[in-house]
Amino acid sequence: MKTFPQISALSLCLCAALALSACGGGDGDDPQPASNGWRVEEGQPVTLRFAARAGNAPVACGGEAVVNGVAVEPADMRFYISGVRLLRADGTSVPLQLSGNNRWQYAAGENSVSLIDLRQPAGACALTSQNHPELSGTAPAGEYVGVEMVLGVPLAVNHLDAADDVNTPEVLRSSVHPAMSWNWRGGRKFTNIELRPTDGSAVSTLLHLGSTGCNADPAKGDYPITDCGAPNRVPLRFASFNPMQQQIVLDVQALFDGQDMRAENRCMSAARDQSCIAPFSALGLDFHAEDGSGNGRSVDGAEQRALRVEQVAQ
Amino acid sequence: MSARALFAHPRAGGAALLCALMLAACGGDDDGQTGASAPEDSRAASPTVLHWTLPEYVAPDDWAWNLPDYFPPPRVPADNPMRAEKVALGRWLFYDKRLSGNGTQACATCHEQRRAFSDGRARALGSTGVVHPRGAMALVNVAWNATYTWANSALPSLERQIPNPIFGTEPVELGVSDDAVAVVLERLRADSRYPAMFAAAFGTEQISWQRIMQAIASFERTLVSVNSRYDHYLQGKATLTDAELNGLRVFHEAQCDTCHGGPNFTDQFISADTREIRVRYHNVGLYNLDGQGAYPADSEGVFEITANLADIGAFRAPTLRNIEVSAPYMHDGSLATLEEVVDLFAEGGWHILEGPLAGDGRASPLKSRLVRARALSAQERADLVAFLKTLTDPAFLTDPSLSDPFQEGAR
Repeated sequence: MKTFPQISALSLCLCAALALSACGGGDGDDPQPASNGWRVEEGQPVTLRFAARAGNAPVACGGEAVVNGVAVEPADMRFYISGVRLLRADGTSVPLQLSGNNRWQYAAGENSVSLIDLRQPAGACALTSQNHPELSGTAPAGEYVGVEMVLGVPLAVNHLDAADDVNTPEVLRSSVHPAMSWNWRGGRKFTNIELRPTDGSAVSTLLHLGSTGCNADPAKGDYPITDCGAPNRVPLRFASFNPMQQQIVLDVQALFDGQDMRAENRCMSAARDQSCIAPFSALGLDFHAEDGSGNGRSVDGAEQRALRVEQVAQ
Repeated sequence: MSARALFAHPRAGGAALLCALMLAACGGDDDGQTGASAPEDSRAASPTVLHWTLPEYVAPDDWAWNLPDYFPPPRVPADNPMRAEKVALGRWLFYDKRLSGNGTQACATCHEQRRAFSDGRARALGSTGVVHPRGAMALVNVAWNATYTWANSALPSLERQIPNPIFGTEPVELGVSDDAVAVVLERLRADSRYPAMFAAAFGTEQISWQRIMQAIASFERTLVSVNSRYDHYLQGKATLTDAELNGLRVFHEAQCDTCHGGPNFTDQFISADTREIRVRYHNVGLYNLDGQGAYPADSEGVFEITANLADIGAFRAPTLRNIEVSAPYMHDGSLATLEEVVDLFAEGGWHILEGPLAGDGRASPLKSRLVRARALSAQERADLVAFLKTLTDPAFLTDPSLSDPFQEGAR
């Protein structure tokens, strides 16, 4: 059995945080942590904002962005974020507690999950698009320096019966977010990111990231899938991040770097799909199109390049 | 080299015997080795075999299945029990075109009763005009399937399968998109028939997607076909012709019944009595594009789900009941007639001489060991087809309780 990448990554991160505080923190008796530290008061909500970019340019439905030299527009721009934790300068972390369950989020400790929707009701996007570019929660009062989270839906809730309108959290229901349904693979799409050329050509570049290699076992009752060959969850760590001044951007140029945007690149996380090579590389996931042997876990030492921190214009 | 040569040497013979014993220990009566239900290493060299152990199940006596004694009742999910009012509602919904995003297709559009609930097309056509990689499957005795669609080890129940055609986008079937998901419910609420039918089926008038899918699943569980001439023959109520009986003999001798066995002529059969099952998928050598067993990339079998290279081209063995009326055959409708299908199995694969799909499926390294040349005469092949046609159930194909209620209302 492989070591869980989260653990090794976490310890890497811990080291980085320690190193940062060792380098940055020590002028005089100033109690401030790292330079990017920020304070949360008791009960004060912490909001993480997200945005879509192509390089540094904004990406919006009905608008135009250039990716790999081709003018494109989004047809979808959604993804699930789970397990958000706030990082302290000493390397410890606390979970961001979401408040309540609704169509955008499910609050359940380690299995908390939020849907980030970066669409607008325009262009090739659904006219019922409801832009929801943020998630919000609370944390113990204190000083924090960064955040970590996972791009994807936790295993424990990814394979719930998405048709169950009573027991399954709204944010994971197919009847609430049909386009995030990934029924044929037995779980949810972690991302539904789709770009089309603005010249009207009938091709698209899309990324349906999600767990693959999931076999059911009805003996397990209401939750027939308990393991997947390739989980394809992406740990995201921003060791220096201040949510009051910064946001997290998904850079579709970095995600689809090098792909011919005038061709069909419909990556549905299939083990040998050539069109998955670029996005899986950008996400730092083990993927081998040549023989399908990718294990869908973070490559040791590889950093994802598709999401980054950006200063919010004041 | 050959087993005979090995046995000529006493020590080698011992090794061969050991191998045989090991195979037997693996339960190797079929292709592939037995694996855990969720293999640790999904890229093993053998085809995926799901080993399911099911809890004891006592069929509730609240539904009359009207089955012959050799056909045990199905397992019905505890949270979606059979109920006449729910089945009646599901029948209306199954035939209701308003269930698709653009209002052009119902489930029944691709699942016509007279074709055993298939559509006669090689590849299905979705509501937005997208041609699918695979054909619409016949719906016959689907209550007993172990898994659903042509090849999907992630879908173990009708309730889990139904969201595929409703919400799926790759390809679009009914096309209930973000824009349509609320609109469809509004359409149904606007039909004065439905609130009362939902209330009768579920206790309240609430119309939800879960209830829609549960009702359709309940209706689909009533797509029961057990009244073919072959059934009547088994029950002593009919005789088969000499040709049909000879076809039956060939069916057994050529081991067709290894995959198409049991009361529903499929190895993916779960009933109230089933406690243990090995769920398998089979590559029958339809394609061999590269000499390594490759299938066309748009439809690679259960490999698409398992990511196990040994599963390329492996599909579920569908029931043979009513197979006569559900042409064309195979997952992509590439074989037009039953005669062609019998030829494939008699030759041990399909040899395509030219074109982009050229390749000798008979030589595919991924092919099931059971699919091999059988030296069947032309007469035996014809008799086998004759036998298969005894599995047609005219009563099922014309049963008014399974027909389009909208047409009934119009009369």
